[in-house]
Amino acid sequence: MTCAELHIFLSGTLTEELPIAAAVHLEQCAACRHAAADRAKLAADLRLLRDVAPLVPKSLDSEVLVAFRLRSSVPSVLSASGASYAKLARKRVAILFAVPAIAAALLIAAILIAVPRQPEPMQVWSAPTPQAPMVAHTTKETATPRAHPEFVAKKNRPAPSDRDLVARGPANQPDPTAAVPVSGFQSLMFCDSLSCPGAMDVVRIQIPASAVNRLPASRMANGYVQADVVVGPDGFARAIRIVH
Amino acid sequence: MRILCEIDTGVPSPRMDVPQPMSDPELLGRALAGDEDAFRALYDRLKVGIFRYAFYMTNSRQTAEEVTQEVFITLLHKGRGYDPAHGDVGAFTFGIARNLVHRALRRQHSYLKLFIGEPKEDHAVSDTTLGDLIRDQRVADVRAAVASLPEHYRQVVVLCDLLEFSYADAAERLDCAIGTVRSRLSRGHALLAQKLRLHADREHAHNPGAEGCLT
Repeated sequence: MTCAELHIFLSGTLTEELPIAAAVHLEQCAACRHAAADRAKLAADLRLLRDVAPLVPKSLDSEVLVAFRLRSSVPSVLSASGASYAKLARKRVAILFAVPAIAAALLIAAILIAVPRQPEPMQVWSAPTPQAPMVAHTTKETATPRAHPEFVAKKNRPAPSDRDLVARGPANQPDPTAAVPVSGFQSLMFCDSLSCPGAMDVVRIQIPASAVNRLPASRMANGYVQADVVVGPDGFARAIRIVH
Repeated sequence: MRILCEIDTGVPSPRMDVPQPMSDPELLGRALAGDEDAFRALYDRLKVGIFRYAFYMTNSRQTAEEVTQEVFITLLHKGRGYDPAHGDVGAFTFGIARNLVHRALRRQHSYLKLFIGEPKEDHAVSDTTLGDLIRDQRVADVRAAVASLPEHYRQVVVLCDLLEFSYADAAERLDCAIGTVRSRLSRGHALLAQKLRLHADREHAHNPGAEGCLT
């Protein structure tokens, strides 16, 4: 037996008993003898390790059994039907998310039904022209009834400036006794004492005649018509009147 | 003789109703359905190998217990994914154990970075004889040497040398070729012998007269 053959014999196997050919070679080769001695010692060490192998503690047995009982007590129905834990977890997550989502949807629907819807304020756009300013005059009017508003305008009072309109104090509150009804306005939104409190402003604007489908008689030369818009303190338009 | 009689007469002789041991896949199926006895039987068959593998790989009894418990809990969760075509239940369970041990080793490795030196398994020295003390010390040294091997060498040494798996079984559990197991085992033996020799030399250098006194 050569050194290479002996190493092949020793590789991967741990034995303390060598064949006669190997023993003869080991008597002649010190290096191989040294390697074989190492292997034999290693084999003895590993056998010693096997002999004192640790035992599984009893406490581990009980812990694993407790875990099994906990696991099998929860989803016995699902286990019988073949459903896996992944499916169970997905169902639980779906339920956890679905219930609040449905509740939130119902709440939003209830709010939308209970609260009256308010129309968007009218967006007025006019092309810049070298004519007179778009806003012809501004005045204050009081709140109006809901269905067909009868706007009232103050008499014997000069039209307030823009600064007055912005900084309106209690002293400038309209006097109901000095108001006269103004008719011809079309309501743009629901209006009552809560949604249309206090005084309002009347703004004259120009809008395209095509937007209001007016007759050519009321149309100006540039294709626009003039209209009075009642604007509340919140900036929303409440009513509009086409000026003939 | 009894078989011959059966063949001759054509009438089966009365036999005792000896319950045949259930196969591992059958036990697993029943355990997943909630059968505690089946789970116990399967656990008793597999627990020793799993526990010792985890213990030798981590050189920690506590980690081995945690890994073993986690293996069987994971088996209950992932047992429905077991496919007999890919190996027996033991190999399937061992695959779970291998992953958990690998994770534990990574945790252990990151934990050890905080400290200097390697952890040593606590050995309760119940025996008081000198021979037992020497043996315990030798066992601790060999365990530490095995635990210090690179993981892929350690796996084959633990499986083939300590758990006495055949090369084929080790290859199936490690999901590699038998030749790979052989080569890794040879390399692992060489490394292990080298480590033990170096350790013995170091011990001899620290205490040159102790060996002669003790023996």
